[in-house]
Amino acid sequence: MGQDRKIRESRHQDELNLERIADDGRLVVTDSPKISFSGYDFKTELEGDARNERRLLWAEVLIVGGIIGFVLLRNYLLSS
Amino acid sequence: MPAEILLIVKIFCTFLVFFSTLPLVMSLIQFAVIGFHRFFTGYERLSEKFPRVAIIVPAWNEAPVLSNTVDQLMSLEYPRESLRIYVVDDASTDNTPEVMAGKMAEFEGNVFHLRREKGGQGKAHTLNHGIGIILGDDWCEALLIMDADVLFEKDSLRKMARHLSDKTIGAVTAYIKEGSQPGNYMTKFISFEYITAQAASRRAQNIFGAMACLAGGAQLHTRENLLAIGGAIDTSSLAEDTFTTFKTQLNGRRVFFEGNAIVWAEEPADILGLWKQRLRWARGNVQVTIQFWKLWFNKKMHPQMGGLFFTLNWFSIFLMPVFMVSGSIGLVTLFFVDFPLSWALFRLLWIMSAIVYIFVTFFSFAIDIQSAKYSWKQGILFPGAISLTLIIYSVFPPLFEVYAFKLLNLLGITIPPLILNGLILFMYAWIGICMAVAYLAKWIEKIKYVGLLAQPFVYIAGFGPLLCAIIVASYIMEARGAEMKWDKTEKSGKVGIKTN
Repeated sequence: MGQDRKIRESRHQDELNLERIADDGRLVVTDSPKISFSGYDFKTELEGDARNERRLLWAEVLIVGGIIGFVLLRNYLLSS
Repeated sequence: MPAEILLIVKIFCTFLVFFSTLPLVMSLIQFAVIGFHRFFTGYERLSEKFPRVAIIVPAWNEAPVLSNTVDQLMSLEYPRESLRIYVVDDASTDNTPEVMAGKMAEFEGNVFHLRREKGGQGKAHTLNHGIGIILGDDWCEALLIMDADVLFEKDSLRKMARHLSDKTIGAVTAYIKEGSQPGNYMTKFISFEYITAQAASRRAQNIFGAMACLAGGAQLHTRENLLAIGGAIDTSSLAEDTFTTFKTQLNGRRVFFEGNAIVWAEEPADILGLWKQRLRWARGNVQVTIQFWKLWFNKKMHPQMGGLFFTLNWFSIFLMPVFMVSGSIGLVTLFFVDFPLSWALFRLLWIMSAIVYIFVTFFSFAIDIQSAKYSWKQGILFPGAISLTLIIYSVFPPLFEVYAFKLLNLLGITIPPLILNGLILFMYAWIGICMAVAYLAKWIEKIKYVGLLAQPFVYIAGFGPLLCAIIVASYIMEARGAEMKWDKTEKSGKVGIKTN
């Protein structure tokens, strides 16, 4: 619903065709590239990569927690 | 010695020891922020984008790997009509023209062979030959610079290209992983090093908004960016990748590291191969440091690149050997001047090292679990066996101070004070002398029979100190004004995409 056009996506036989509705309402097929590989979805792929990045924060929290625990344990062992 | 001079010596030596901790502090900062990279990926702003990409492959006598490289590139999950491969043949003397003729016939309209009749000037000149032709045609919207022997995972190009929907970005780089099959101890060290130097460090650089270097084997530029930096790669130095990265950012465009786009490369399998490759990189960094001297600590030139983090991070690597030697000089001098102070500083330094080592090593394993499975032993022994012993000692002093002495007493061995003092001095000096031991490993590698000791020497001295020894060599070569030779890293073509 942009000022000039909007983009509608449709998928047929693993091909992505980008079509847009011009100002006068005509359906215009763009010269956007066709995707000939299967199993790909932009948003799903992006979400997967975002998940991998989110994993790093949890990994960091766990490692820092582990180090703090290790230091406490070490001090306890050395003092006892 | 007069008390005033003694005090000055103590203060100066204490400063040297603290000064030597800068690389540790910078590592800690970098790894501490990586968890927050999720907020700096810009993924929410991206849209699906498949720009017309010209892939430029510089090649000199790469016939054994070219066919595989072209096939692999043509199998990338990227729209075929938006992909062109230009192999720039740097006057190869092997059967590269025949191989390319076959590939051009097989992939008509997608694969092109650009031949230089006179070559040998290095990668940058070869690239420029191709870039000039490619940019002369309006077809290309983005240009991917790569090496002939790297393998892109099928989704890597599109993962890089999606960032070009963000108009502020001028170039994107990928995560290069070591992919030698089979690997050896050296490639495993490099595999771990790449987790820390790429997957980790470049994520931190994304966060701080300034990138030190686009990976030479995988850099995707927008057409506009290449034109803005002069339509060519710098040929005045040995670090053309770093020059391109700096120029891109100084021209107002951002450079992004996409850690989820994976590219596999074959890395050197012995010390001499590593030495040749890294000496070129290190000399390039010396040249960059000098040529961009106005940039350092100068936020007016670039708010992020001239900022504190980027500058300190750059110099913490560039001057790493200086930091290491300064720590040793400080401690050894204090040993004779004020032993209790030297001991306290030594303990402090190594406790810091222990914290950074544990954090960096385990976090690196978590960042790239696949590489960690392959190279975890080298990751643990990255600082070297002696440094690792000092780290263990700093964490558990009684292990050595009580139990080791008890054991020696049980065996009827007493250590004379002279030996004990010598041992302490050795521990103080180790941060500096480990580089010399690492150099020794390089020196003996090609000597018959003795060369077998090279690998144990690297494990004892550490891979990090070996890299520092190379940096020292780069200072010396640059100071001597040694000839700038493009020593091509020898490859066997045994690189593969690892799936587990």
